[in-house]
Amino acid sequence: MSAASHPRHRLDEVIHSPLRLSIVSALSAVDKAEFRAVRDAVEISDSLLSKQVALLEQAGYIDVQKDRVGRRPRTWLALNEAGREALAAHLSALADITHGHRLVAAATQGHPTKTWAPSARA
Amino acid sequence: MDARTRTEAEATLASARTARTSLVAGGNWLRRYLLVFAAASVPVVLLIGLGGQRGATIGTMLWLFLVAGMSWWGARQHVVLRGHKRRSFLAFGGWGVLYGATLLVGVYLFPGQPGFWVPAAVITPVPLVLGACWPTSRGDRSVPSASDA
Repeated sequence: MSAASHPRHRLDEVIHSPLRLSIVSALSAVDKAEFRAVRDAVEISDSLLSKQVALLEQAGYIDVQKDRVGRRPRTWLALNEAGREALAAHLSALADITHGHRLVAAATQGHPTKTWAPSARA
Repeated sequence: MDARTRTEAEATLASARTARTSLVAGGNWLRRYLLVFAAASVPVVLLIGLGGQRGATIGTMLWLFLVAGMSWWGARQHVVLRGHKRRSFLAFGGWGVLYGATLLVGVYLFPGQPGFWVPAAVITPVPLVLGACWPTSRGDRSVPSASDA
Protein backbone atom coordinates (compact mmCIF):
# COMPACT_ATOMS: atom_id res chain seq x y z
CA MET A 1 0.00 0.00 0.00
CA SER A 2 1.51 3.30 -1.03
CA ALA A 3 1.50 6.20 1.39
CA ALA A 4 -1.03 8.14 -0.67
CA SER A 5 -3.50 5.25 -0.82
CA HIS A 6 -3.60 4.72 2.94
CA PRO A 7 -7.18 5.29 4.12
CA ARG A 8 -6.02 7.83 6.67
CA HIS A 9 -5.57 10.29 3.81
CA ARG A 10 -9.34 10.19 3.33
CA LEU A 11 -10.07 11.16 6.92
CA ASP A 12 -11.91 14.44 7.23
CA GLU A 13 -9.72 17.00 8.99
CA VAL A 14 -12.65 18.65 10.75
CA ILE A 15 -14.38 15.47 11.89
CA HIS A 16 -11.12 13.74 12.67
CA SER A 17 -11.08 15.13 16.20
CA PRO A 18 -12.64 12.42 18.41
CA LEU A 19 -14.74 15.06 20.12
CA ARG A 20 -16.13 16.46 16.90
CA LEU A 21 -16.71 12.97 15.54
CA SER A 22 -18.76 12.18 18.64
CA ILE A 23 -20.79 15.35 18.17
CA VAL A 24 -21.40 14.78 14.48
CA SER A 25 -22.11 11.11 14.98
CA ALA A 26 -24.61 11.81 17.74
CA LEU A 27 -26.35 14.45 15.63
CA SER A 28 -26.55 12.13 12.64
CA ALA A 29 -29.11 10.02 14.53
CA VAL A 30 -31.50 12.89 15.13
CA ASP A 31 -33.31 15.63 13.26
CA LYS A 32 -32.05 18.13 15.77
CA ALA A 33 -30.96 18.25 19.38
CA GLU A 34 -30.72 20.98 21.93
CA PHE A 35 -27.27 22.17 22.88
CA ARG A 36 -27.52 20.81 26.42
CA ALA A 37 -28.59 17.36 25.20
CA VAL A 38 -25.53 17.15 22.96
CA ARG A 39 -23.36 18.42 25.79
CA ASP A 40 -24.64 15.66 28.08
CA ALA A 41 -24.38 12.95 25.43
CA VAL A 42 -20.79 13.83 24.56
CA GLU A 43 -19.96 14.60 28.18
CA ILE A 44 -18.14 17.89 27.73
CA SER A 45 -18.46 21.40 29.08
CA ASP A 46 -20.58 24.16 27.57
CA SER A 47 -17.55 26.18 26.51
CA LEU A 48 -15.83 23.26 24.84
CA LEU A 49 -18.98 22.29 22.98
CA SER A 50 -19.42 25.90 21.88
CA LYS A 51 -15.96 25.90 20.34
CA GLN A 52 -16.54 22.62 18.54
CA VAL A 53 -19.93 23.74 17.30
CA ALA A 54 -18.41 26.94 15.94
CA LEU A 55 -15.81 24.91 14.03
CA LEU A 56 -18.39 22.52 12.66
CA GLU A 57 -20.70 25.36 11.67
CA GLN A 58 -17.82 27.14 9.98
CA ALA A 59 -17.05 23.96 8.04
CA GLY A 60 -20.68 23.92 6.90
CA TYR A 61 -21.50 20.63 8.60
CA ILE A 62 -24.08 21.67 11.16
CA ASP A 63 -26.86 24.23 11.34
CA VAL A 64 -27.47 26.19 14.50
CA GLN A 65 -30.92 27.50 15.26
CA LYS A 66 -32.12 29.49 18.25
CA ASP A 67 -35.61 29.73 19.72
CA ARG A 68 -37.31 30.21 23.05
CA VAL A 69 -39.63 28.20 25.26
CA GLY A 70 -41.23 30.70 27.55
CA ARG A 71 -38.36 32.82 28.76
CA ARG A 72 -35.72 30.21 28.25
CA PRO A 73 -33.60 30.53 25.11
CA ARG A 74 -32.68 27.31 23.38
CA THR A 75 -30.02 26.47 20.83
CA TRP A 76 -30.74 23.63 18.45
CA LEU A 77 -28.02 21.79 16.58
CA ALA A 78 -28.69 19.82 13.41
CA LEU A 79 -26.37 17.94 11.09
CA ASN A 80 -26.98 19.09 7.53
CA GLU A 81 -26.56 17.15 4.30
CA ALA A 82 -22.93 18.18 3.84
CA GLY A 83 -22.24 17.03 7.38
CA ARG A 84 -23.90 13.69 6.81
CA GLU A 85 -21.87 13.10 3.66
CA ALA A 86 -18.64 14.09 5.39
CA LEU A 87 -19.42 11.77 8.29
CA ALA A 88 -20.17 8.86 5.98
CA ALA A 89 -16.90 9.37 4.11
CA HIS A 90 -14.94 9.71 7.33
CA LEU A 91 -16.45 6.56 8.85
CA SER A 92 -15.74 4.72 5.64
CA ALA A 93 -12.07 5.68 5.91
CA LEU A 94 -12.00 4.62 9.57
CA ALA A 95 -13.61 1.33 8.63
CA ASP A 96 -11.00 0.76 5.94
CA ILE A 97 -8.27 1.39 8.49
CA THR A 98 -9.66 -1.12 10.98
CA HIS A 99 -10.69 -3.62 8.31
CA GLY A 100 -7.31 -3.37 6.61
CA HIS A 101 -5.68 -4.28 9.89
CA ARG A 102 -7.85 -7.36 10.16
CA LEU A 103 -6.89 -8.47 6.66
CA VAL A 104 -3.23 -8.15 7.58
CA ALA A 105 -3.76 -9.92 10.92
CA ALA A 106 -5.65 -12.74 9.22
CA ALA A 107 -3.00 -13.11 6.58
CA THR A 108 -0.23 -13.33 9.15
CA GLN A 109 -2.08 -15.48 11.70
CA GLY A 110 -4.09 -17.64 9.35
CA HIS A 111 -7.44 -16.73 10.92
CA PRO A 112 -10.45 -16.05 8.78
CA THR A 113 -11.42 -12.41 8.63
CA LYS A 114 -14.76 -11.02 9.58
CA THR A 115 -15.67 -8.70 6.79
CA TRP A 116 -17.38 -5.55 7.78
CA ALA A 117 -19.39 -3.58 5.30
CA PRO A 118 -19.67 -0.07 6.66
CA SER A 119 -23.31 0.81 7.03
CA ALA A 120 -22.38 4.37 7.83
CA ARG A 121 -23.17 5.74 4.41
CA ALA A 122 -26.29 7.40 5.73
CA MET B 1 -1.09 -0.83 8.65
CA ASP B 2 0.15 0.42 11.98
CA ALA B 3 -1.57 -0.77 15.11
CA ARG B 4 -1.66 2.65 16.69
CA THR B 5 -3.78 4.03 13.88
CA ARG B 6 -6.11 1.08 14.20
CA THR B 7 -6.40 1.40 17.96
CA GLU B 8 -7.12 5.09 17.68
CA ALA B 9 -9.72 4.43 15.02
CA GLU B 10 -11.45 1.83 17.18
CA ALA B 11 -11.41 4.05 20.25
CA THR B 12 -12.80 6.93 18.24
CA LEU B 13 -15.58 4.78 16.86
CA ALA B 14 -16.48 3.48 20.31
CA SER B 15 -16.66 6.97 21.73
CA ALA B 16 -18.79 8.20 18.85
CA ARG B 17 -21.15 5.29 19.25
CA THR B 18 -21.61 5.97 22.95
CA ALA B 19 -22.48 9.60 22.33
CA ARG B 20 -24.88 8.64 19.60
CA THR B 21 -26.69 6.06 21.69
CA SER B 22 -27.01 8.51 24.54
CA LEU B 23 -28.52 11.22 22.35
CA VAL B 24 -30.94 8.81 20.69
CA ALA B 25 -32.18 7.71 24.13
CA GLY B 26 -33.13 11.33 24.80
CA GLY B 27 -35.43 11.28 21.79
CA ASN B 28 -37.61 8.43 22.96
CA TRP B 29 -40.03 10.81 24.65
CA LEU B 30 -42.29 10.65 21.59
CA ARG B 31 -43.17 7.07 22.50
CA ARG B 32 -44.42 8.13 25.93
CA TYR B 33 -46.18 11.11 24.38
CA LEU B 34 -48.15 8.92 21.96
CA LEU B 35 -48.92 6.29 24.59
CA VAL B 36 -50.35 8.89 26.98
CA PHE B 37 -52.67 10.14 24.25
CA ALA B 38 -53.61 6.57 23.36
CA ALA B 39 -54.44 5.73 26.97
CA ALA B 40 -56.44 8.93 27.43
CA SER B 41 -58.35 8.40 24.21
CA VAL B 42 -60.18 5.36 25.63
CA PRO B 43 -62.04 7.08 28.51
CA VAL B 44 -62.63 10.16 26.41
CA VAL B 45 -64.43 8.18 23.72
CA LEU B 46 -66.39 6.26 26.35
CA LEU B 47 -67.43 9.47 28.10
CA ILE B 48 -68.53 11.05 24.86
CA GLY B 49 -70.40 7.98 23.69
CA LEU B 50 -71.92 6.68 26.90
CA GLY B 51 -71.91 9.61 29.29
CA GLY B 52 -74.65 11.67 27.74
CA GLN B 53 -74.37 15.43 27.50
CA ARG B 54 -72.42 15.71 30.74
CA GLY B 55 -70.03 12.92 29.74
CA ALA B 56 -69.40 14.55 26.37
CA THR B 57 -68.60 17.84 28.08
CA ILE B 58 -66.27 16.21 30.61
CA GLY B 59 -64.60 14.11 27.91
CA THR B 60 -64.00 17.10 25.70
CA MET B 61 -62.62 19.12 28.61
CA LEU B 62 -60.31 16.26 29.61
CA TRP B 63 -59.02 16.05 26.07
CA LEU B 64 -58.39 19.77 25.85
CA PHE B 65 -56.48 19.72 29.14
CA LEU B 66 -54.47 16.75 27.95
CA VAL B 67 -53.59 18.43 24.64
CA ALA B 68 -52.51 21.58 26.44
CA GLY B 69 -50.44 19.69 29.02
CA MET B 70 -48.77 17.35 26.58
CA SER B 71 -48.04 20.19 24.15
CA TRP B 72 -46.36 22.08 26.98
CA TRP B 73 -44.35 18.99 27.89
CA GLY B 74 -43.47 18.11 24.30
CA ALA B 75 -42.22 21.61 23.58
CA ARG B 76 -39.72 21.24 26.42
CA GLN B 77 -38.03 18.11 25.12
CA HIS B 78 -34.42 18.35 24.00
CA VAL B 79 -34.09 15.85 21.18
CA VAL B 80 -36.09 15.35 18.01
CA LEU B 81 -35.36 12.02 16.36
CA ARG B 82 -35.26 11.51 12.62
CA GLY B 83 -38.72 10.68 11.30
CA HIS B 84 -40.38 12.40 14.26
CA LYS B 85 -42.72 14.54 12.14
CA ARG B 86 -43.74 11.68 9.90
CA ARG B 87 -44.41 9.38 12.82
CA SER B 88 -46.47 12.02 14.64
CA PHE B 89 -48.40 12.90 11.51
CA LEU B 90 -49.29 9.28 10.74
CA ALA B 91 -50.17 8.42 14.35
CA PHE B 92 -52.35 11.45 15.02
CA GLY B 93 -53.72 11.43 11.47
CA GLY B 94 -54.80 7.82 11.85
CA TRP B 95 -56.26 8.50 15.26
CA GLY B 96 -58.12 11.55 13.92
CA VAL B 97 -59.71 9.55 11.12
CA LEU B 98 -60.86 6.77 13.48
CA TYR B 99 -62.00 9.21 16.15
CA GLY B 100 -63.96 11.29 13.65
CA ALA B 101 -65.56 8.20 12.12
CA THR B 102 -66.42 6.87 15.59
CA LEU B 103 -68.14 10.09 16.60
CA LEU B 104 -69.91 10.46 13.28
CA VAL B 105 -71.24 6.92 13.20
CA GLY B 106 -71.73 6.47 16.95
CA VAL B 107 -73.55 9.69 17.75
CA TYR B 108 -76.07 9.24 14.96
CA LEU B 109 -76.48 5.48 14.74
CA PHE B 110 -75.50 4.06 18.14
CA PRO B 111 -76.11 6.68 20.81
CA GLY B 112 -75.48 5.25 24.27
CA GLN B 113 -74.90 1.70 23.02
CA PRO B 114 -71.93 0.03 24.75
CA GLY B 115 -71.82 -2.61 22.01
CA PHE B 116 -70.54 0.07 19.66
CA TRP B 117 -68.72 2.49 21.95
CA VAL B 118 -66.61 0.04 23.94
CA PRO B 119 -64.99 -1.61 20.89
CA ALA B 120 -64.70 1.81 19.24
CA ALA B 121 -62.91 3.19 22.33
CA VAL B 122 -60.43 0.33 22.14
CA ILE B 123 -59.85 0.59 18.38
CA THR B 124 -59.58 4.38 18.12
CA PRO B 125 -56.15 4.73 19.77
CA VAL B 126 -54.56 1.90 17.76
CA PRO B 127 -52.71 4.29 15.37
CA LEU B 128 -51.21 6.06 18.39
CA VAL B 129 -50.05 2.77 19.89
CA LEU B 130 -48.58 1.71 16.55
CA GLY B 131 -46.80 5.04 16.28
CA ALA B 132 -45.35 4.55 19.75
CA CYS B 133 -44.25 0.98 19.11
CA TRP B 134 -42.88 1.50 15.61
CA PRO B 135 -39.14 0.91 15.72
CA THR B 136 -36.99 3.98 15.86
CA SER B 137 -34.70 4.53 12.90
CA ARG B 138 -31.65 2.36 13.57
CA GLY B 139 -29.36 5.28 13.07
CA ASP B 140 -27.40 4.07 16.07
CA ARG B 141 -25.98 1.35 13.87
CA SER B 142 -24.28 3.84 11.60
CA VAL B 143 -21.26 3.97 13.83
CA PRO B 144 -19.83 0.49 14.11
CA SER B 145 -18.55 -0.74 17.42
CA ALA B 146 -14.92 -1.66 17.73
CA SER B 147 -15.89 -5.31 17.63
CA ASP B 148 -17.67 -4.79 14.33
CA ALA B 149 -14.62 -3.32 12.77
